Amino acid sequence: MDAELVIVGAGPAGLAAAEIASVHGLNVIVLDEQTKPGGQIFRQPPEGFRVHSWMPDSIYREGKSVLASASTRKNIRWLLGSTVLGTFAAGSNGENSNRIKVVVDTGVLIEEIQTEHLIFATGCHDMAAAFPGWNLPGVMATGGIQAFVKSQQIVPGERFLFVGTHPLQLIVADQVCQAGGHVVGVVFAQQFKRMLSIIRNPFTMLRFSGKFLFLAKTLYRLRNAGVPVSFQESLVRANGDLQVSSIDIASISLDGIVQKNESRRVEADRLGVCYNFLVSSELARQSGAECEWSSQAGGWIVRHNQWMQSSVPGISVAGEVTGVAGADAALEEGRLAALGVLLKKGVLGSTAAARLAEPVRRRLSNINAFAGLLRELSYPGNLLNQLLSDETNICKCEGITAGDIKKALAENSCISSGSAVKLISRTGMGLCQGRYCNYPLTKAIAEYREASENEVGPFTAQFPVKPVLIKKITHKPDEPA
Amino acid sequence: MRNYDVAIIGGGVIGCASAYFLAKAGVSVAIIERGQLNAGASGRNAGSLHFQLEHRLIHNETHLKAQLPHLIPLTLAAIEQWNTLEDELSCDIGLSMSGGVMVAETSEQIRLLERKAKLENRYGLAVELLSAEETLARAPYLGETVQAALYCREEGHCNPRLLTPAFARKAEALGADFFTDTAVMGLDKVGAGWNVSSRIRPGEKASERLEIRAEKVLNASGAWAHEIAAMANIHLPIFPVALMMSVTEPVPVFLKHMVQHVGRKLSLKQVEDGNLLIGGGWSARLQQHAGKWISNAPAKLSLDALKSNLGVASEIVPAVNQLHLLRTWTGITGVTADQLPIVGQVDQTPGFYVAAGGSGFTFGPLYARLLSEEILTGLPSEALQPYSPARFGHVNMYMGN
Amino acid sequence: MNKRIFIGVERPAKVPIEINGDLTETYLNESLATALLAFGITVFNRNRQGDCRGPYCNMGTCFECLVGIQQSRPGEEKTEKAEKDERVEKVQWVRACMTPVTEGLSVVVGDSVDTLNNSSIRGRHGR
Repeated sequence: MDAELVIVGAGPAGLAAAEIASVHGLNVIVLDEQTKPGGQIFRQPPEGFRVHSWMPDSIYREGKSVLASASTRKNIRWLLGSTVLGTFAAGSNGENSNRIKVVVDTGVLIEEIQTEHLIFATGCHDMAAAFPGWNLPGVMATGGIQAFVKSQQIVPGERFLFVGTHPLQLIVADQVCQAGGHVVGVVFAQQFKRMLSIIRNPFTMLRFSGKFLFLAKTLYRLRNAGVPVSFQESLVRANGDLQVSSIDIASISLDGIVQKNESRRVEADRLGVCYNFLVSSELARQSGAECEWSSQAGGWIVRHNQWMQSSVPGISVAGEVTGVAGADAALEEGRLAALGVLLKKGVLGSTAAARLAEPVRRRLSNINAFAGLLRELSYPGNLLNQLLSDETNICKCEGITAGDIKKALAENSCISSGSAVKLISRTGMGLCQGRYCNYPLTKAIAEYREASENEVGPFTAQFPVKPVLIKKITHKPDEPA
Repeated sequence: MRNYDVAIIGGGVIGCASAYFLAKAGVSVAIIERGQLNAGASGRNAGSLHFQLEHRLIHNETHLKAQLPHLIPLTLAAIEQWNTLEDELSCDIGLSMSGGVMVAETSEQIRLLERKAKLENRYGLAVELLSAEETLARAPYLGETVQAALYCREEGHCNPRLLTPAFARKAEALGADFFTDTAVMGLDKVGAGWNVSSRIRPGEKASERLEIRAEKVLNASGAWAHEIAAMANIHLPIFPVALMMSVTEPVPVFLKHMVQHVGRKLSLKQVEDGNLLIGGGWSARLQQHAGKWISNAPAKLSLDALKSNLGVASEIVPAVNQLHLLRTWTGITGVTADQLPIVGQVDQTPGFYVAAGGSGFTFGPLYARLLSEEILTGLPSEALQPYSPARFGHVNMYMGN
Repeated sequence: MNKRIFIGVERPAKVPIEINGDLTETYLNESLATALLAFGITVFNRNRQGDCRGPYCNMGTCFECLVGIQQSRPGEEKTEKAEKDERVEKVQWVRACMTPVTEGLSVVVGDSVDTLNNSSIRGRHGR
């Protein structure tokens, strides 16, 4: 299979890139693991479902319109329900080939797609806070709860509690309430004062009034529904035998210390954890793209130039994978990445590309100002560190605890890189391949060794970036699947 | 300037094990490693303990006959050492010596196994040729195409994640100094000893220097040993080759042997944690620039080679097909012109020792022990004599100091 | 309990699936995770460390919601090749959140340690 442009990820960035590229005549293949385009933010109900009022709020209007228009374009080929496993240089000598082979698990078989231009719009996923009990069934990423409600149309629990630092938890709590669920609380770690300080600046207020209005409406509805929203509190542990049944919450002192000994117990069977987000840069890294660390923007974010091109020729990046900034920024970065591809292919001259990119860059810079504020506001900082006990899993797949990591670092004085700690401890070697533990591990090593996160470095991302059944790889094309 | 008796270049299994044996004898040692410890072939190989002659060594019988008299005594010494290594290192290194089978699928391959068995037994390595039925009785996980197997009781595996760090910890406790993220940039023979000049964090602009004065230098830099040798004005015929390894998801233990193939490239084993490690010498691609290998760049994985490697594995052990592949990675090892390692002092540069070039995991701890004795006593090791750099003396006729 | 939302939602036809041998009806194309939650299941598997696990990310990233899928369904005829070759797998794990429900799916789920164990790997001459 061949395409002029391959886009991995059908979220806002991928959709916007696909739309622009296809409007300019390119044949595009868009790949996504989900069975419908939209990404996590516009995660659609399953095939054959009809939801009468789906994501009605006006802040979703632009994204939904890009989704609708990309979905109807003739020269976009959708390969959905497909997991991209990695990329290879297509030529026999990697040095001299400018073609990229994209290896895809389509569910039954492995497909190879060749292209000269690839955009990774692989998004992000919820940051998992590690605390005692975080692996109990019933504890979920808040984004995961949201996907059950808005896409699967199910209220996944009886009593919901949301704890974290990110305003997303207000939106999801509201969606759960509207769907008939019972939310017993939304707990923020920040002081209410600090939440307000972000909007004190009248310019910020004015520029992003739509977003503030939406949040205000959400808060108002939650208050009317009788949902207690508290500030300056943190979770301490989740309790339960086979599944979560209660959560211990404690206040945070003015100097930021969680008062673990004075906790209150909240009964709930579904805990939504909502701190920041982590970028999904595994595919870009497996392809050799350079990354740099950002604590606030999601860990190992991919470096890029002004046309969103990564350090690897032919590979561009767009959206959250360049640093978490939200759907609006992702749309603009997707457009910019597509314009960069069109420029490189010679479909657009440099003047035309610059002219088309100018308004995109202007909007992007505005959006980034807001995204920066939001990141600063929702960054949990040193809080998550306090929730760890020595027995808490850092690597949930292999059962490697914070204590195991400390021991490995203490006993092996020379080991100081993320990959070396992975090798000696098995952290990050399980099925999720380090997607949740790389972030806290990087921070833990940096702190322990008094080094910068960039010195520690990310886990080397290997092929396949998600586990794949070996029979799909060994299958010979002339045999039936 | 820091002073040491011995400077070891390379923080892999040979370097760290040598540091341990030397430090244990009271010698002051510095280990200089340009990256992290165990980051090269020592930590990336598949951990096989192969005591039978490997696939790569038995392509022609003349070769086989010439090698066996030297190899088997060393093999027996290695088996003896592995048997006591966990006690010596007083920690878990994931060691399992529960037997290995080298399988055959054709009558020609069976004949090769027969000849190999006869020779190996004659020189003292006990191996047992199993018929198809005996093979399946002992190894029920093998596929239907397997016709025979050569069984070696002592074969098995050790965890490459754990072995080198275990030696390093022991060496450090005995006073060895480790300098990681430190790249040797120059070696100068001054008087009877060596000045070793290195850069700490070589990739960064403001990297600091490390200056070491050592009486002796041990080059244990694996695939790149020829680059370090060049700093001592010596040619070392070691050639980097890139290989790939794969690991599956962990599953309950069902495969207790190390599995090899006499005619196809395969090594397969199940580790303590339940994962299967799949290798066998399938190549990856070294990165180059203008015809020169880039020595610090990871090798590139080849999808075709991966398909072939997993294909052989799943034909020999059909259950492999039902497992998920977790990761495939590449590593770079060194081979020599005659497939035998180069271990010993270089005649043209007294005080400059080498240990590199093949089977470094199975035999690394043994080379380290024997070479350490040689360094300590100044007397060439009898057992290592066939591996002496002297056999390549002609390329260094105009080199050295 | 986990309740499906019905107000303002139209769903495709109901299809039968088997959960630990119990026949139940669920909606075509909804995720297996949804079907299991609606059936009242919270613990999806017990992992190698013996810990109970359920959905976490619900987007295919965390691999916490693994459940076993019976490959040859009861009563279904084995193919000739499968008949000859007992190596054909019996249970294969999938991510419940990424698996759309299809008719006749047979799921092994819950806190039993063996849920995810692949019985085929014991070999053709095995127990």
